Amino acid sequence: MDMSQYYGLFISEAREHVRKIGESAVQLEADPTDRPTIDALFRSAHSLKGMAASMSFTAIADLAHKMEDLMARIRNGLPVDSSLFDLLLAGADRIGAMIDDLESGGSGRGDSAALIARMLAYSPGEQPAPPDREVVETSPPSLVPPGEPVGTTAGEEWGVPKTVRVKTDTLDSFVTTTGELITVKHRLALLAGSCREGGLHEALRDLGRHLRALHDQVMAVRLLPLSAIAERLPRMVRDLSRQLGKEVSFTMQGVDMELDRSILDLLGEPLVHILRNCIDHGIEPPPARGAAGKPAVGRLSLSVARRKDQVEIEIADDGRGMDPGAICAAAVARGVISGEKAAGLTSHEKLMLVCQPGFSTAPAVTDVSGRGVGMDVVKHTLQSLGGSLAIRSEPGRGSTFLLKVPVTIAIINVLLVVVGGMTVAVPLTAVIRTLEIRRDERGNVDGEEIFFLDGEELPLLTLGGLLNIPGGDGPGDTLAVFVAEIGGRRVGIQVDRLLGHQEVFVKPLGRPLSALPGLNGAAILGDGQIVFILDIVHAG
Amino acid sequence: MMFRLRERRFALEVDAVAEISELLPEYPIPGAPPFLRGVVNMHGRVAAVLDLGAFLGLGTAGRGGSLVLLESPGCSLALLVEHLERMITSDDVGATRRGESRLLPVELVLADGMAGLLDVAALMDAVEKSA
Repeated sequence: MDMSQYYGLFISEAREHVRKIGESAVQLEADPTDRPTIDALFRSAHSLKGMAASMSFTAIADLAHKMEDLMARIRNGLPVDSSLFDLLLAGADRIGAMIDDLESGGSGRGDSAALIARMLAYSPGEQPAPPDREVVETSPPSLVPPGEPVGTTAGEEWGVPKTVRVKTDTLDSFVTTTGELITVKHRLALLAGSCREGGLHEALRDLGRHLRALHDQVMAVRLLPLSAIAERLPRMVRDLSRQLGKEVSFTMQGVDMELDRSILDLLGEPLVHILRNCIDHGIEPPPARGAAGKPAVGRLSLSVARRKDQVEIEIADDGRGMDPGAICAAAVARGVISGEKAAGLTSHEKLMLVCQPGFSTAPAVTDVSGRGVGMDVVKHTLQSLGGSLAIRSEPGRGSTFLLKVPVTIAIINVLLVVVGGMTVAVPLTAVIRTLEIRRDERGNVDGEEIFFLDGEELPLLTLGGLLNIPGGDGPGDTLAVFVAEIGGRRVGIQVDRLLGHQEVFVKPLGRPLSALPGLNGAAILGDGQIVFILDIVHAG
Repeated sequence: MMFRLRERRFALEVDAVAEISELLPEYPIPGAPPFLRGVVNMHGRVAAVLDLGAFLGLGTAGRGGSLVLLESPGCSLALLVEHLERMITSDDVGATRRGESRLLPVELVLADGMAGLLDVAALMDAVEKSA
């Protein structure tokens, strides 16, 4: 039987089990008596074994079999010590490597003899026993056909699956088609503008309603919980803390929050980088923590919350924190910023200097976070997603990184504005409010234009100035302004004209437009006009 | 594919051309350098229009012409050219000479003159750097 058609399915399901084993092993380490986690580990190993055997991947099946045996012994009451978790994690890593090998066209084999021998000899608190003395509960490799449910527990029904796996390319094409339909709807609405046929307008309203429903459904299908990428983080934190001789208690909250998969795809690396930074540079080694009057175990948390159309991810540690003055001095010394410019920065702006390319306060390059992607890449990635990064920190008390990303990106609501004769779009999530102010309400403080909003003095910038394009004051008595938050500060941004808001399909920019700063994408309006979607938070 | 621009002849490998189009309405790009004239809607694809003459320092393109959308991964760039000449094959090329720059690494010697062969990848890098 030709099994090659099942390779893709096997690889994705096997990876899922490997991930679950890693996650459960870390969970079990925190509570070795956690029976449901012991059962989950057993089931994952059992399922992997069956799937691999049915595909004749004997090396994977053998190793999974030994892991299953090991878990069977734990289930039967064998005590647990820390070496068990190392064995399970090493097994998961080895199988993960074999799956990688298969995927890249290899045989998926590997020498696991030494690891298997250690698993067979596992006996807490005793010298390793020879394998032939082991009493193991075994179950023969099952031959479940690929594509059918594996690892089911008693009581689960066999029948037509209620879910299907769909290639992500297909999901992407749904979004593209829905987006194009929305553009066509706007075109039709424009064409129908002067038409008096009532039925046409009614049909257009119906079309709009159905398109909104279609859009919501397509977007919902693409949503995945953040846990899809966050589940591997506890393992990463554990391994890194051990490597650095630090003790870290890591908690995650709200990771069931759902985001578009295209955002999740890009979010993994920034999360890992920030967490690695927290462990490497933030949390102190136990003696230093003791000296600072802190508990030996450092706290690291990741919490997720939804705010309007954005998801906020907060990563906080209780480590040594960051000193804005020291960061600023280092930035000046490294030529990242001039001393004159540095003098005018707020504390928050000084902290954000760590996101400048080439900046690193690590005294030496370490394997952990002193090289590879830097905070500049983290910031750039969030920016490219239409999100933002903010840092709060207090020396001696710890640091907090706040990542904001939109829930979905392909179809968004924008505010259309005119500046210098050019129509551009600002994502509505970046707009706090729009207003018109009288010219005489505009003031000048220290050479900077300001205006008052609800009694608060706000800087007044011009969009033309931010984008480096000419844009005049216009002839009227009033100035069109929208208020946005830039660098943690509310500012008014003056434009020539506010046109109103519209739903648009965001087209990603190809080269060379993607290299231009301040542009997040483009959209085609109903009349065929192309407008750019501005990254207002980072413009200028 | 051979085209003419500011009294000079250039060539592009056919594999590097995704589409040829007449001029389309252009929309401005905020903050872009002058050699990126604007963007056009090529069947739903947003492509930047490069005034190749201006970029190569030969002077800005005159009125009329065509757009040549380049085929390159992740790229969305159309070249504004003044006059499309003809397709040539390797049989038409008498000899090749070393070109004048990284963007034009090879000069094709043809029966009726010369043509500089554009390196699309190098062009894209150079445009991105200058943008």
